[in-house]
Amino acid sequence: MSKIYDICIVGSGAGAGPIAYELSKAGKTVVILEKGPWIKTEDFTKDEIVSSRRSVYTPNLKDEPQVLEKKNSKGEWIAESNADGGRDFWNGNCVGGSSNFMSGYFHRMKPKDFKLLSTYGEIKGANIVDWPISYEDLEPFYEKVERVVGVSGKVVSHSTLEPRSTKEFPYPPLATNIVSKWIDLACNDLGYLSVDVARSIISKPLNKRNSCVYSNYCGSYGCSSDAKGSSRVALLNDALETGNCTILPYSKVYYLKSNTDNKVEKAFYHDRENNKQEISAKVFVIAAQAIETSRLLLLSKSDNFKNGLANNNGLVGKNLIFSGGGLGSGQFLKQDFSDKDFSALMVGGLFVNRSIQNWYEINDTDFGGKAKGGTVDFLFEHANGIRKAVRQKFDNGRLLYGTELKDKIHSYFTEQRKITFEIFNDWLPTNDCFVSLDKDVEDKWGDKVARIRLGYHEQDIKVGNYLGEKAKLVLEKLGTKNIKLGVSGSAPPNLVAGGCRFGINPQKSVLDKNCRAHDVKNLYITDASFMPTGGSVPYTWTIYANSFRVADKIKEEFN
Amino acid sequence: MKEIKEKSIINSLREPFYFANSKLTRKQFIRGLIVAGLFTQIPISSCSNKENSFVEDGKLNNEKLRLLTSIQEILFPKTKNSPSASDVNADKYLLWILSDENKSTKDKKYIIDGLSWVNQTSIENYDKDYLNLDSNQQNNLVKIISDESWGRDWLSIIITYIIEAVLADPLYEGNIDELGWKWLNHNPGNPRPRKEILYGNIKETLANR
Repeated sequence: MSKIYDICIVGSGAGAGPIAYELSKAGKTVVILEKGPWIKTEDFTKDEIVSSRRSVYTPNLKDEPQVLEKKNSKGEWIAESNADGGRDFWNGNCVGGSSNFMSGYFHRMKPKDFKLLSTYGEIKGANIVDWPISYEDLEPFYEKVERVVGVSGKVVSHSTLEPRSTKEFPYPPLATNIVSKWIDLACNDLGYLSVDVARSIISKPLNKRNSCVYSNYCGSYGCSSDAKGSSRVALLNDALETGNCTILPYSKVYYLKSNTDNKVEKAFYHDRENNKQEISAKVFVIAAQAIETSRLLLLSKSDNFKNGLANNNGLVGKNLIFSGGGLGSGQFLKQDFSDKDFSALMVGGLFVNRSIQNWYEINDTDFGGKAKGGTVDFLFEHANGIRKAVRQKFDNGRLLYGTELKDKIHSYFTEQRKITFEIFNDWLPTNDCFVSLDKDVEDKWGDKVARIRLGYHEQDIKVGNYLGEKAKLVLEKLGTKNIKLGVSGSAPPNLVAGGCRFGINPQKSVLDKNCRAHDVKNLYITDASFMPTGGSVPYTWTIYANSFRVADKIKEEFN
Repeated sequence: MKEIKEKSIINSLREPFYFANSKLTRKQFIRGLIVAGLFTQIPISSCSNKENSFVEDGKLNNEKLRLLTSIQEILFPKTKNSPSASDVNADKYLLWILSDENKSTKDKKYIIDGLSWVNQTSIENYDKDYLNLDSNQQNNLVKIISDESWGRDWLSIIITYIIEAVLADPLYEGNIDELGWKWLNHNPGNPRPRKEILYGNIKETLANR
C-alpha cells in the first residue's frame, strides 16, 4: 500500500509555506506538490533576460495558455486565448512561488478592512461582505510573520495605524536613499504624514539567512542573499530540516479525487516526464494562487460535486479580485539639483520605503462623506536597464532611432532618476470578475484552462484617481518634472485574490471561517483565494498570517 | 510592486503579412544557415535549440543578413562615446532570437518578412535593391519606412533587440566587454549569471538536477 501523508499541499508559495512549516514541526508528514522547478538561491542571479524579458519563472503560454475575457467598446465580453502571447496571469511557478519575486512591501490590513460592508455600507454592483474573522483574530499571526518570515521597519504612529501587540518590528528599517527624507519634508509641507514602509526583507541575519545586500534588483528577481522572506527560504527550508517534509517539484496537480463521504482521498498529478501520478493524504491544502486554485476545484468533478469540488453552491471562481489603483511617476532632473544632491539621489540599492495612508479612509463630499480609500507607496523606477532603454524608443508616438535615440537613452540613464508611486485601493468584488473553465482551450496535458473575466467596478477608478491626484502633489513638491498618473481597470497579474471566499453562510461562501471547504471535510485553501475583499494594501503579509492561523486550526484537528 | 510584464514584444501587432505556420524543421533551417555561412554566427551555447520550426527555407539568406546588419547600424550607429549595433553583435543576437524554440513562428516570420518588405520599399522608391543603395539613400529609406505604420512597428522590434544586445549580460554574446553598461554607467547588479543558467539553458539545467 502506498504511503498516506498527513498533509498534501498543492503549491509552495506564501499560502503553503506556513502550513508546511507548522505541521512538519508538529511531527506530521507533509508532501508539497509544486508544478514548477526547484530553483535554489545560487541560481537566482541578476539576469534581466531571465527575470523579466522571457517566460522562465512562468510557463510557456503555448503549453499553458489562459483565456482572458475583456469588454469591447460595445460592452460585449470578448474571450481570447493568450497561447500566441499577450497578457497572462501566471506568477512564479517554482518552489516558493511568487514570494520569490515579490518586492516585499508589507502592510497589514486594517480593522475596518475586515468589516467593509458594515462600516461603509453597500456599493451598487459590488458584492461586498464583512469577513467572518476580525483584525484581532489575525493580529497574533501578523506578529508571528514579523518574527518568523522576517519583517523590517519602523512603527510610526498615525491615524490608521493598526493596533499592534508589539512595540516595534523585530528587524530595524533598511537603509534609505536621501529621497526618503525629501519625501518626509514634502509631505510635512503638504500636511500629509509620510510613513515608513515595512519590508519582508531582513536587515540583520536570521539563522542561515544573510541580511539584505542592497543589490538594487529586488522585485521580479529571486533574492541571492536570502534576505527576502520568500516561502522557500523563510519557511520551507526549516520544514525540510524536520525530516517530515517532502517537496516534489515538476508536479502539476490536475485532479482531486473525493469519496462519497465528501473527503478528498488523492491528488493526481503530472510528473516531470508527463506521467500521471497520484498521492494520498489525510488532509489536503490548496495554495496554488487564486486562479489556479479555483481552476483545480472546477476540474475536480465527482458524483457528489458535479460542478467541481466544493462548488455545489456555484461560487468557486466567483468574486475574483485584484488590487485597484494605478501608477504615477515624476523625474528628478540633474539640471534642477546641486551635484551633491544629485549624486546622493543616484546612489543605487538604497530603498525609498515611504508611503502615505492619510486617505485610507476618505472623507470627502465627492464620495458622500466617508468612504474606503487606500495606500500610496513610493519607490524608484526599477533598475532593469533594458526595460528603461527600450522605453525611450518613442517620442509622442514618433519612433526614435540613430543618434537621437542614443542621446535620449544616455540622458535618461545619466541625467535623471524617476520616482514612482503605486496606488493600492480595493478592487471591489463584482459579478464580472471570475474564473471558470474554458470549454475549448486545453493545456499541454489536455486539461481545460482557466478562463478569466476581467471586469472591474467604477468605484475602483474613482478612488484610484483620488489618491493619485493627492500623490502627484508630493511629486510636485519634490521638484520632479514630467509628472504622470495612470489609473485604470487593468488587473495587475501579481496581485490576485478571491475566487473561494470564506464566510459563515455555506450558501454564500466556499470556505468556512477557518478556510476549510464547507462541503469537504478535509480540504483547506490557504492562498489569497479566501479573501472576500482585499483591503487597500498588497496581500502577501495577510496570506502568510492567515496561513499560520489555519495551520493552528489543522493542528487542532489532528489533536 | 505592481508587475508590468514585458515578455511579449510582438503579439500586440496585427500585421496582414503572416503566413500559416511554417513547415520547416529546425534541421532544415540550420542546413540553410550552413549553406549561407551563417550558422557559426549563432551564439548556440545559450540558445533554446531543440526541435523547432520557424522560417521557410531560404527566407534568411546572406543578403537578408547583410540588409539586417545595415539597418541595425542605421538604427544604432557608432558615436564617439557609444557602441554601435555591430559593436555588440546585434545581428548575431537577433539570429539567436530567431533560434529560440519558445518564440512563436509568427513572431519570427514577422522579423524575417520585414527584411523583404524593406527591400520591396527600396525597389518602389529607388528602383534598386536595398543593398545597392548608397548610404544616403539607405538612411532616407529607413526614414521613409519609419513613417509608415508597418515600418514603425517592425523597426521598433528590431530596435528592442538591439537594445537587448547592448544591455544584456555579455554571456549572451552581445554587450562585448560590457560596452553597453560602460556607455550608460549602468550597474547590472550582482551576482552575474553563469552559462548554465542563461535563458535557453536554465530550464534544462534545473530539470536535469
